Amino acid sequence: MSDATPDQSDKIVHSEGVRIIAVLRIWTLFYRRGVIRFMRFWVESLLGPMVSTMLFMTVFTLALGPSDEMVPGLSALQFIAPGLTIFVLSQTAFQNVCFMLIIDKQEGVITDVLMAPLSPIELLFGYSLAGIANALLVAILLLGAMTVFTGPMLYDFWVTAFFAISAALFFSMIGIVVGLWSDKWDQFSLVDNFLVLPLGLLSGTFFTLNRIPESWQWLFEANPMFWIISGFRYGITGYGSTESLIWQGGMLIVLTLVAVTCGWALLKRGYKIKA
Amino acid sequence: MCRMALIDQKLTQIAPRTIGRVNTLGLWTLYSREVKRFLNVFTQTLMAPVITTLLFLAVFALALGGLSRTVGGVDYITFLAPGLMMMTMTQNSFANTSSSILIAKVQGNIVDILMPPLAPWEMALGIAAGGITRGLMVGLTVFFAMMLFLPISLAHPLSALWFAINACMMLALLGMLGGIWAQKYDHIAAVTNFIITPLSFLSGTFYSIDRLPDAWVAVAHFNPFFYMIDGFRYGFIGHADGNIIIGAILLPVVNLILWFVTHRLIATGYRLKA
Repeated sequence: MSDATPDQSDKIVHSEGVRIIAVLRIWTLFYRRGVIRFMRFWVESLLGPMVSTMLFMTVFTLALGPSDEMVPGLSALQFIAPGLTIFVLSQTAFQNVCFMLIIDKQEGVITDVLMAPLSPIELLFGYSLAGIANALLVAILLLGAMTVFTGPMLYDFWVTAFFAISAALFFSMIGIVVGLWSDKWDQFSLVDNFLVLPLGLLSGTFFTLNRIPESWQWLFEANPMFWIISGFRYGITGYGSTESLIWQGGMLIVLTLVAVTCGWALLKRGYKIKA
Repeated sequence: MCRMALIDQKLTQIAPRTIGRVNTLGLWTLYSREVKRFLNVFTQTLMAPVITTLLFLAVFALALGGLSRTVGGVDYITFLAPGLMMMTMTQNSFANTSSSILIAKVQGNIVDILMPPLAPWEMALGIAAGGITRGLMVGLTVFFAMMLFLPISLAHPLSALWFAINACMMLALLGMLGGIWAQKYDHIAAVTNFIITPLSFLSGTFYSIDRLPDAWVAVAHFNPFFYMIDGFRYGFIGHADGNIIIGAILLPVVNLILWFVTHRLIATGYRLKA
């Protein structure tokens, strides 16, 4: 061994502690970059979505009147609240991850991240976990705040948690893909305005499917956001059938896996981030 | 002699251009710059708001309209449509002027606007007119798009136009004030999220103001957005929640005050000049 330099000792430590270091790497990217970033900008990342969602709830309360029933046993507000929460969660996950990636790319900070000894999978989760954390935090705060309008509600904790986490994961992966693809903010806002927002609004957040003409219903049922919202609403209020819950959950898992694979493959190739 | 005359003529040709009382060319250039700026990204500045507004209309119509609910003597959706139109117009007027100034400040190209021989009022007018143009263009596009789905009729077109122009002007001026005051994108995002959006949401776009508890009705009357939307809606459905005359006079008065403040800020160079 000719190169018995001080580096040698570092390498030994590295190989011994590889497991700890892998966790440490993701933690650094996740916590030091992502979480600190969104906590620093908590006015936009937490307060902003909360204020606009509570405004929506107020507007609906005033427009509907509190006595309206959307479906038997649920007031309109109780019906809307979980839908709005999960919609905001999805949008936050998407936007947070996308923002981080685009800003890093524009400022050139991305090279620092790429230089660090991080595997594609570590990059993927390092970037997306912060968005997921931000989204889940917003959702928890929102569910708490919305009890003002709806009273406390929780039907099945595990179903709720499953749909919340899957939605956050799925949309953070979309955020990774779109963030990598976007050279400018135009592309981001294109996806945000013409894909995420329509998918979210036309998904049964605010109305039941029987309000739609029958020939159009398939369009809503094919919308992943519809599965997410229905599942999450089941978890919170118990409205819906367990049968559809299973296929919606199953489809969501498949879709999330596809999205994770796409994100991972793009990072591995270094799509638009490596020369 | 002939030579001298020729030289003389040439000298006058290359003399500095004189500017009259109004720098019309400069004003026009600034205005067209403002308009081209947002037309350049029309998917974000025109199409996105139109789509979002139509989605809102669809969602609210589906969520609330199914109960054959009427507000102010008309179908809920007929009631909602003008309110939504006005909301989009105001938001876009505000977004245009605020982002124009802020981006210019952050990128440093604000000097390109400050350096030319433009009087403060010309600068204010050029930028504000750009915002008003965007607001009205978005409004008009939404109007035509909604006509495809809804039987929209104008009961008092002039009233609608008066309120549309005044509202766009108010928000364009507010956007300029915001853009001048803000030093980072966060600042303007905070103003949009915590002032403009709440005021426009809680203004009677989505519900008739007599839905509110009595104490809040009084509060709502202090919200300028209430008068904009109410007056604009009056132009469409011929019914107003509040007093239409108060709104028609109040808005231009507020605009005058805002105009004065904006002019002062630009003249003194507050957060614009070093």
